[in-house]
Amino acid sequence: MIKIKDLEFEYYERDEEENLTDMINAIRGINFDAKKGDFIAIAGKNGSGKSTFAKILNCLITPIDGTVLIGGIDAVNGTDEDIFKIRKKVGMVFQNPDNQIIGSIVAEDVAFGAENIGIPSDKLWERVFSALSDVGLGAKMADVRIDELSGGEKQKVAIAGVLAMKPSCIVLDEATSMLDNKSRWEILNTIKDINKKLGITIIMITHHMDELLIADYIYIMNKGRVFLRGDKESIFTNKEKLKEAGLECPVIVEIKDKLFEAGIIRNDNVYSVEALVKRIKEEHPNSFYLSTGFEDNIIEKPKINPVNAIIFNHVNYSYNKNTVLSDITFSIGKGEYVVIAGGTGTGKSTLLKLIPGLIKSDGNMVFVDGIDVMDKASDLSKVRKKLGFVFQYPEQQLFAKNVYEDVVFGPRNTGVSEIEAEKRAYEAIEVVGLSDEIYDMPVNKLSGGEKRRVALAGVLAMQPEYLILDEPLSGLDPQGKQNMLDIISALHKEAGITIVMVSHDMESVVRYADRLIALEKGQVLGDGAPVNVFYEMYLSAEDKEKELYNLPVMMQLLIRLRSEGLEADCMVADIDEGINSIINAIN
Amino acid sequence: MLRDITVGQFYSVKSPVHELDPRVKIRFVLTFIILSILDRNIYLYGLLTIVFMAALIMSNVPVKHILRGMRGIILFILLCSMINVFTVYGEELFKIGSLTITSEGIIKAVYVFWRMLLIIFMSSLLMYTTTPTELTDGLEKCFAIKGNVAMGITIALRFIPVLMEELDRIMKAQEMRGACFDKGGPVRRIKSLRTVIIPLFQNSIDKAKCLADAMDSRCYRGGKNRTKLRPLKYEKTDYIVYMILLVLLIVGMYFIIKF
Repeated sequence: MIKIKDLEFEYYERDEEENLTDMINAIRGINFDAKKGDFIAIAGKNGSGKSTFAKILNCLITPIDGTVLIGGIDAVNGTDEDIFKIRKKVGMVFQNPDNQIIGSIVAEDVAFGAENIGIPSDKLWERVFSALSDVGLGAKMADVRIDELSGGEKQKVAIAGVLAMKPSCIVLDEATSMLDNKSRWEILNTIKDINKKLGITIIMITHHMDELLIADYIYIMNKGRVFLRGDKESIFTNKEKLKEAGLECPVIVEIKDKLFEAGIIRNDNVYSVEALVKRIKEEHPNSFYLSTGFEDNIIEKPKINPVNAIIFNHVNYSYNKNTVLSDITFSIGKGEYVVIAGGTGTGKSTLLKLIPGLIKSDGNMVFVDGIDVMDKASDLSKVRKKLGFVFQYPEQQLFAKNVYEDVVFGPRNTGVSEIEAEKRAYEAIEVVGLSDEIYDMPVNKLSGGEKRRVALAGVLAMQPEYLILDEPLSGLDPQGKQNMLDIISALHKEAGITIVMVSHDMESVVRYADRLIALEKGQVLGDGAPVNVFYEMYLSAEDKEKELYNLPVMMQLLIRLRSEGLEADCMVADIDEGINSIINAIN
Repeated sequence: MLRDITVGQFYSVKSPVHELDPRVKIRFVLTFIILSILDRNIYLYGLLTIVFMAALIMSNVPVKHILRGMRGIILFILLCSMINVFTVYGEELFKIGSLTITSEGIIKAVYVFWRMLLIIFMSSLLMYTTTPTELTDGLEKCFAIKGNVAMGITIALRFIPVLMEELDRIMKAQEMRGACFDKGGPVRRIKSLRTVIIPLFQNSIDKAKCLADAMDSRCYRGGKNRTKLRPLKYEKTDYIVYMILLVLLIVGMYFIIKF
């Protein structure tokens, strides 16, 4: 269906005098094949050329050399009519739902592509409804306004919009990178279904390593080349090479390999938590008992301490009569590292905005260092000086002509001397691990990960005592994530800054955070040590199966083993400890 | 708050007004506005108010929802019409300092306020009951606008809420870094605003690029051979509303000429 040979693409940046300065998004000699019904994943770190490659598949950019045949049509030298035919065959889903949805109403957007290819009006509704049901949205959703949907639902609408054109292939360009785990897996399962039931070829571009596990064939890209290609078996036995490409092994593969090394299981063809549970059970049937129930969960709820730094005292917040937060009570002490988790629409971001009083709620009390920020008489500027707030996608707030000017903006506003402001800016840039060569660089010349670090530096230059971060990891590749986590951890440990962070990245939560506060429908569901709270999230969930996706992989495995009857301790998230727990339970 | 602005946003609910053909609604609102501008007298405005009320009740859009989105605008037109109180010559009622308040002025102010309210409420009712796509389809037919221009309008309307949310976020972020939008002299304020406008612009351009790709990839070719999910077709009720419009026009003109 798709045949690509010796593909080349280059994109140069030029300065004002038309001299070549930089070469980005290049592709060097890629060979690629996809047959009908294939499920192919392409992974690589940011800047490896994977998104450029995706765009070539949809004729959004034209390569400079090589052959691209899509369904037998030449995509390199094709006429406008050829390109139209290719786009009819190959649909594309992009990263940001808000940047690809054209209609204001679900049905209007789903129909958009089908309208463009001239499907008669009486057939359009049929296509809209069948596409909506294929992605698991009911016909009821057809009249809903787009801005009332969650991110995951918007992405489903985008997929439905492509399905309504009846394509034979769908290219997904990091389509899940802006979603929380539960919605992410809902989308992934939808994609898998589409692949299996409708026989549509899927080409999925991603840097979430666990997503590679649902594909049949994997390409790893690095520096514009195909670095590795093969099935799961051959890719994941090549750990050194993966690391070289800036990627890491999926957690479940790591666990599986360690269990193999410990002599617990055979190693082959186990690529999901479910498969691993099945394998363990097959090989050690005698360790599983019918009578094994779940352990009791005792969460030691952190006590409210009046001298604590941030205190929420029975806080309610509603917007347009919808209750967003209800009866939120907790306190965060100085020097803690707290993560707040919960699905979309659970009020996490609202909760963060209440801390510096960016939004107000009458009659409620939120204290920061003893000052009630909800009280209109309080001096907010005094509180805000101590709080650094990193919004979601902070790189979208950069405004100055170069890095230094942007970072120095904050300290200048505090009224310190120019020399002091300058000093603080330089320090902040150093803290986020950027070299002094970038001071004069225009912001748009930086990579996505670097931009985010510059934005973080802009907040750190204010020398806050508390750092509030709204999903600082979203959209970053594995390396960028690790970088960010290292910086935050250093700020916490070395500078003693209190961290309050909203995050979906559960693996890092158990590794770094002291404490997890889980929100559900605007209420605190659990508050305490991360493993306990995760366990509580599972136990109290209505749909336990789906809730598992919100847990770290090790806990998913342990809980599944336990529900099959293995007496393993479930409240373990660390990989090595978890493996010990399994080994002990088996012997 | 910025997110409270609901102007230009569709309100999804089932109602006879929502079902009407957009061309009918556009022509109706246009005639309504022209009538209100032509003259001001109590009978005409009474008639228009009744027509608006009837449309509002049938539209199933909650009054509260409309009012919440318009608080700022109502205040603004109230201020604008107040100017009339001081600037119209006539019988002097009383003086505040050097300002003279006349009874003619007060009457004119009331009419101006009433007129602006009618115009704004009626046109926003059109927006609440018509999706941007339908609206542009209607405009395309009513005023012979080209397909891609109409698509531009659709997208502009679609992105109002998205950009509002973004503006809100950027402002809050810069506020947390010590930017001040409501204090200090004009120079400082403009300097502060720069930190919001520039990223908003940059992001809009990035968004536009992505959106263009997304439209291309879904085979958009400027409306060539494009079919419609909801093709414009007149139903019985549409003709009835046209008749009502004709009656409104005749009665309105009668009031204008007579009084």
